Amino acid sequence: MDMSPYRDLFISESREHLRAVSELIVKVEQEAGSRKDMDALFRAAHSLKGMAASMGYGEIAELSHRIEDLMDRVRKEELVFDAGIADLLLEGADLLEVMITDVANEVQAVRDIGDLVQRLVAYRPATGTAGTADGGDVAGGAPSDRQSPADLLHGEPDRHGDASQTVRVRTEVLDHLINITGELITNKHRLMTVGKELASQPLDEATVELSRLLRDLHTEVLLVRLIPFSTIADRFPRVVRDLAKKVGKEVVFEVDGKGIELDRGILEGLSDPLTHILRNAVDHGLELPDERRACGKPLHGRIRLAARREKDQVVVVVEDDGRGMDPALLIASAIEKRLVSPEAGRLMSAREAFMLTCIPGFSTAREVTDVSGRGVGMDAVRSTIQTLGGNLTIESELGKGSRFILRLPLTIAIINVLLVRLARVALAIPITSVQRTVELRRDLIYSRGKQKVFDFDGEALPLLSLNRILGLPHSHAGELLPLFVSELKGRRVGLVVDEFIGQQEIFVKPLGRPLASMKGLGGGAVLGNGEVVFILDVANVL
Amino acid sequence: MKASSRGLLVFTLQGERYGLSLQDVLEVIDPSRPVPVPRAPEFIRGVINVHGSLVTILDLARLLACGEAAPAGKFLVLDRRIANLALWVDSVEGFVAEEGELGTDSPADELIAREVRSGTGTIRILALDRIVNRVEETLKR
Repeated sequence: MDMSPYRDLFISESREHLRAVSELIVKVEQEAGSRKDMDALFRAAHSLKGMAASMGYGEIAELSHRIEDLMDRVRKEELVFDAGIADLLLEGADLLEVMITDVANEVQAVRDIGDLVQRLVAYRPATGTAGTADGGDVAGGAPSDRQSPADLLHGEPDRHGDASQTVRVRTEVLDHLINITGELITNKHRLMTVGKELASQPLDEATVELSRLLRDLHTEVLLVRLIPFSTIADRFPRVVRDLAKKVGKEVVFEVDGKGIELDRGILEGLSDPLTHILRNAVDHGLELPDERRACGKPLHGRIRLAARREKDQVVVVVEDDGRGMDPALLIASAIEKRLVSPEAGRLMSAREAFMLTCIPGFSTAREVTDVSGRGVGMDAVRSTIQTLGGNLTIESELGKGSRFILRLPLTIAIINVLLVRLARVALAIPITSVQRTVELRRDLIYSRGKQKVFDFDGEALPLLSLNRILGLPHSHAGELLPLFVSELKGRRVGLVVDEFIGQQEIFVKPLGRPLASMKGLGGGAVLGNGEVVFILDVANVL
Repeated sequence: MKASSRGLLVFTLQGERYGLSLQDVLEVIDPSRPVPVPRAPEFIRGVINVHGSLVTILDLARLLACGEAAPAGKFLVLDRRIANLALWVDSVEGFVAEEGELGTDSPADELIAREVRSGTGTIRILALDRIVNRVEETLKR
């Protein structure tokens, strides 16, 4: 029998189980595990074993079987779930992930599971090490409060209940679906343009009705593409735990809003930035236990990752109760590295100072650690978030901790833009990159050094010509200068354009190879009149 | 515009004959005015909308440094698996069947894969992968 049609299903389902396994291990370890979580862990390993066996993946089945056995001994209270078990189980989960990736890549790799199987079978708790942590005992401890609020909130991973009402759909089909919907929206704008010229009432009525139906279709298609935040959030407890162990810190990590749903594309893009922010929080944000004790703080640092819906946006917040950031120090460091001039530094607000951490070449880590001081920095984090159509703000209080706030659109393919004209080119600016539009009277412009500035919200913002930045001729005539306020390299600026055309919903089309490699372009779109516009990637335009 | 695999589409540029494998060309269309791309190098003439996809127009003459495309010309839309590109050329001459062993002289220009003898002259076969790579490298700068 040809099993290949079932292989993809096996891969996606087994990965789901593995994610649950990793998450549950960390949870059980941190919260001195409830019975319910241990049962769920046992079941996930059990399901994995069954699926692998039926597909003929003997080694995956064998390893899952041993994990299931070890959990069974814990359930029967022959063993206490301690850090040793957690390490062993996580090692098992990692190896399973590698083996499933082999299956996905159709690689006939030989993975040695013998050693790990041996250790799983022969596991004995190390004597005298149970309950190591001083103060709050994170690991170990008997299963206690069986009905803690966390239990009640934690949904059953077992979803057999509604199996008959759900289907699995390949993600390409979903992508295709949203493409077609986007094309329909573009075509609707075309019909409306034609309708205006013809002045035909029946046609107008039909297009209005079409608009309504398309809006419904669009909503439904978007709903189908939404997946819960837990899809990526479930692996973060593991990331935080491993890193905290490595750098000798004690961390209580909380995740809220796992059920909040986001577009699949955005969620996938969020994984790396969030990992980076979380690693930063563990590595730089939180103090070492001694330092915390000296400040009179609890020994366990607290990191919270929370997602929530706000109108048509999703807000994701990472906050820690660590040492916080000192705006004056950040500014001094940026001046020293010649990233900002001393004058600009003096005028900088605290909010802007925190954003300095996102300038390429800025890193305040006193020494480069192999954890987060190198490679992709906060600049990459911010530009990724902006590319996803979102934005990042940072808040911090010295001695109390920092908050990283990510605002993201629910969907990525259809976005709201401000259409502007520069010379004869129409350009689309994602609304998320526009803080405000202003029509500025020329007499309100003044000079500060070599820079032309204007006052905005009590702050002197530099004026830049977007025409000049893009190498287009400028014709900023007229008494009022149209400009929009946006953030460039962590600094708020006013970007002058020739004309505002208006606000519109557009369907983002990829530029593809080779044009996508050009900096500052975030894709293109076709307007209702057939005109092609480019979407400006404001964060990367300079 | 369909044809069996091992054929060449022959087109002209500044009086010279060039060729592409038929499989690499999706369609040949009449030029329309491309929307210029701010800050792009000269050989990128802009982007057009081809059946709902955005396609970048490459002025092949400018890239090969032998003048610029004739306004009348043709756009050769490449297979999307190669790139989202259309080549602006002067005119399309037609198809020729490619025979077994043909001209193997290694041409001086790396953007030309090989030269094929056909009837009275030679046809320069473009090295599409290298052309796309070169354009991409230039754009990254």
